[in-house]
Amino acid sequence: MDIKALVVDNNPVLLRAVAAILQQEGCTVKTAGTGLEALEIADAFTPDFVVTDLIMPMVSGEQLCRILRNTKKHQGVFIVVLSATVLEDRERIFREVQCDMCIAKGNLQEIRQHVREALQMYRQRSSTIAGENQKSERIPDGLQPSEMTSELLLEKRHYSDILANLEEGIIELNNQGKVIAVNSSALNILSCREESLIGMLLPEAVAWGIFKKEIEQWTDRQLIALGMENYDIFDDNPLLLNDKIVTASFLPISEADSNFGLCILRDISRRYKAEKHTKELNNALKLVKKMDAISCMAGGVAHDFNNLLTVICGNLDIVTLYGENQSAEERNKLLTQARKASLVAVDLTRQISCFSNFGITNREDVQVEQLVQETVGRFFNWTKERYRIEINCLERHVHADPEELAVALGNVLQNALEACPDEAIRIVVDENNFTTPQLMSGQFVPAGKYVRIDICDRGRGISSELLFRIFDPYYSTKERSALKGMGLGLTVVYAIMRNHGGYVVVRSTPNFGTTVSLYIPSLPSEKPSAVAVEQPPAEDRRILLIEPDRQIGEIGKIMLSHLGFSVKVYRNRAGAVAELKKRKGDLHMPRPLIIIAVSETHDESAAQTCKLLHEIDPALQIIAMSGTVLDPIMVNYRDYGFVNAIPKPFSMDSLRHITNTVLHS
Amino acid sequence: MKILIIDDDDKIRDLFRMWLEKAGFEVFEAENGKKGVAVQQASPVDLLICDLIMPVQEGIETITQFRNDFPEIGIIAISGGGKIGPDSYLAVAEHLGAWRVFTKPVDMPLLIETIREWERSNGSR
Repeated sequence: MDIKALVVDNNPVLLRAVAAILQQEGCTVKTAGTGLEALEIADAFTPDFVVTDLIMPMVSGEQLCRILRNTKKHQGVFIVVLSATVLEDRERIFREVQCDMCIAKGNLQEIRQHVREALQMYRQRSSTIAGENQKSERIPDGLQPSEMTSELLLEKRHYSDILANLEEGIIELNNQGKVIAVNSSALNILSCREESLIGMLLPEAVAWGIFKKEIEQWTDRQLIALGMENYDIFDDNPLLLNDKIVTASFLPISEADSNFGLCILRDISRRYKAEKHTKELNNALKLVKKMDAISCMAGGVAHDFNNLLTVICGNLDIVTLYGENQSAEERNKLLTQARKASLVAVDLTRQISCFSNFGITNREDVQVEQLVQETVGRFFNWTKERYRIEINCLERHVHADPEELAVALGNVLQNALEACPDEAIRIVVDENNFTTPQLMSGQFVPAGKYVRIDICDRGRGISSELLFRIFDPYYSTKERSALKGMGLGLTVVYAIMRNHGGYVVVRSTPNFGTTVSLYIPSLPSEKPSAVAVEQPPAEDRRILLIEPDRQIGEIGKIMLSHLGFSVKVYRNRAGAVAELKKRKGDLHMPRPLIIIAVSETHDESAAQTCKLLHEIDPALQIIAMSGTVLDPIMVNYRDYGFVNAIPKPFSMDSLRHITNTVLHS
Repeated sequence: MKILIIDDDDKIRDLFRMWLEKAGFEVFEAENGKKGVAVQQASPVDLLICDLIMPVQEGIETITQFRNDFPEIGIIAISGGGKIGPDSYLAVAEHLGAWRVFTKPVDMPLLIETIREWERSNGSR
C-alpha cells in the first residue's frame, strides 16, 4: 500500500533526513518548512501520515495538529510529533497535543528507528481499523531533560496563557496577509473555529462588509508591500459582525529579518448599547427642555393675549350694555380702545408667526453696510454719541428681507441698550469664511462665507448657565411687564437669522459685557445679482435627497425646487444607489448633488451610505444633514467623505447657502 | 364701596375703572403690589382686585400681604396665566385667601355681579 507522508520541520537538514527515511520505507513524501505551508500542501495532497516538529514559525506544530484533527478531510491522519521538547513538555503534550505518537529527537539512528516504529504502528492500525487512538511515545535512552528548554517552554506557555485570556481578539498574519494564529477571544468575536481561519487571506477570512476594500488595500499596501501604516475601524463607524459591534486595528510589525501583521478586534457591543441608552436619555431630556420652552412660550402668549382680549371684550361689552345711553364721542373712545388692543394683538401674532416662517418670503439683494448704518442710526435717533459703527469689509451683499434684518438688529440693540444705557454701543460689520463648521457658544455654524454683524455692549453680561436659555421664547431675565411680546426679542432674532440661513451667537462675560454676532450667508461678491445665483442652467442642478422622514423630505423637495433644483427624494439609500447606477450607464446625465439625512432612528448609517455612493461615483459631492449638531459626522464631516454639513431645521436660505457654497467651491 | 385694582397694564386698569365706576363704586388703582399696599394704607378700601403676574411685587405675594395686614378686605384674583398656566396660579391665590378668582379675559358683567354679591354679604363700611 502506498503511504502518503508529509514531513514538517523548519530545520532543513532534519527535514531532508526524515523525508529520506520515509522514502526508503516506500512512502510518497512531501515536505513543508512551516505549519502554514503544511496546511496548504495537505489540502491537495491529503496525507495519511504526518511527521511534524512542534516549535516552528508561521503556524506551530501544535496548531497544525489541532487543525488537521478538526478538519473533516484530515481527521484520520496519523500524526507523529518529532520534537526536541518532548521530554521537557511531556505531560502537556500528552494532555493537549492531538497526535498519535510523540518522539523526542535523538541522534539520526534513533530517529530512523522511531520513525520506522511509528510507520509500523500506522500500518497495524489501518489494517485492524483500531478505534481509540492510544498515544505512545519514543524517547531515546539516556536522554536527559534540559533545564533551559524547560524554562523557555514555561515562558512560552506564560505568554500564550496571557494571549488566550486577553479580552481583545488577536489575529496574527504572516507577511503575505495569511492568518497564522488566532486567540480564543478573536474566535468568540468572529463566532468561528480556528481551522476555518488559519491559512486564509485576511480579507477573505472575515465578513468585513463595507470595510472589505479598505482591508484588502491595507493588506496589499501596508503589510505585503511594507507601507507599514496602521488602519483602524473606529467606534463612530464600527464593524458589524453577526450581532456584535466591533472596532478593529490593523498593524504591520517588523521583526529582525521579517515582518508580520496583527489584527486586533474589540467587542464594544456592551459599551455601544450603553452609549445608545445614554443618547436616548439625552434625547428624552432634550424633549423635556423643548416642552419646557414650549410651555413657557404658550404661557407667555396666553398671558399677553388674555390681557388684550380683556381690554377688547371689556370695551365692546360696555358699548353693548350701555351704548344707547352713551354719547357718540364716548362710544368712539371705547371702540378705539378695543381697536388699539386688537392691533397690538395683530402685531404679536406677526412676531410669533416669525418662528414658523417657511422662508418662502421676500428676498432682495441687501447692502449690509447701508442697512446697518440706517437701522442703527434710526434706532438711536441719529445721536452719534450713543453708538459707534466699524465697517471692516466694504460692499458686502446678502440675500435677505431688509425689514426682517432691521427687526433682528433692532431687537439686539434694544437688549444692548437696556443692559448698558450709559455707554456707547459698538457695532462691527465684518466677514468670516469658515472652511470647517464652527461650534460657538452652543451654536453650530456650518462652513461657508458669512457677513457678520457684532453688537457689543459693556453691560452686566449673562452668566453661562443662562446663555443656553436666552433664545427660549418668553424666557427673559427682565421682569414681565405690560409691554406685549416682551421676552420674544432674542427668539425673534434667532428665528429671523435661521430663516435667512444665518445664525446668532451670543458671547458674554458677567460684568464685562455681551457681544451678539449675527452671521448672514454672504453672496458671492463677483456675482451680486441674486437672479444669477438662483437660476443657473437647470439641467446642471439636480439633487438627490435621502431623508427617511416623509414630511421633511417633502418640505426639502419644495424648498430645493424653489431654488431651481430638480429634486428626487428617497427614503433610504437603495433608491439613490439605483439612480446613480443608472446614471453611470449614461454619462450625459449631469452629476447630482447628494444630501443625506443623518438620523439616529434610521437603520442606515449616513457615513456608510456616503461611502457606498462614492464607490459608485467617487466625484459625487455629498452633504450631511442632521438635527444633532454635536454628531461627529456634522463636526468632522470631511473625515466621513462629506463636502459640507447642514443643520436641521433647514430653511430656504440655509439650503441656498450650503448648496451655493458647495457648487462654487 | 371702595375698590382697589392692582394691575400692571394701564389699559386693563382703565377698563376696570370704567366698569366699576359705572356700577357706582369708588375706584383706586395701583400698577404693582408695592404701590397697592401704599394706596391701601393711605385710604383703606373694602375690596381688592389683584392681577397675579406683575413686575416689582407680583400678585401672590401681594395677596398674602393683604390677607395678613388687612384681614377684613375682600380679595378677587385675576390672571391671564403665565409660565404654568392660569388655573394653577389662581388655585394658589384661592388657597391663600382670595375669595373669588377670574381668568382673563374677564367677563366684566359677571365680575360686577360677583362684587355685588360680596357687598350684600359683607355690607359697605
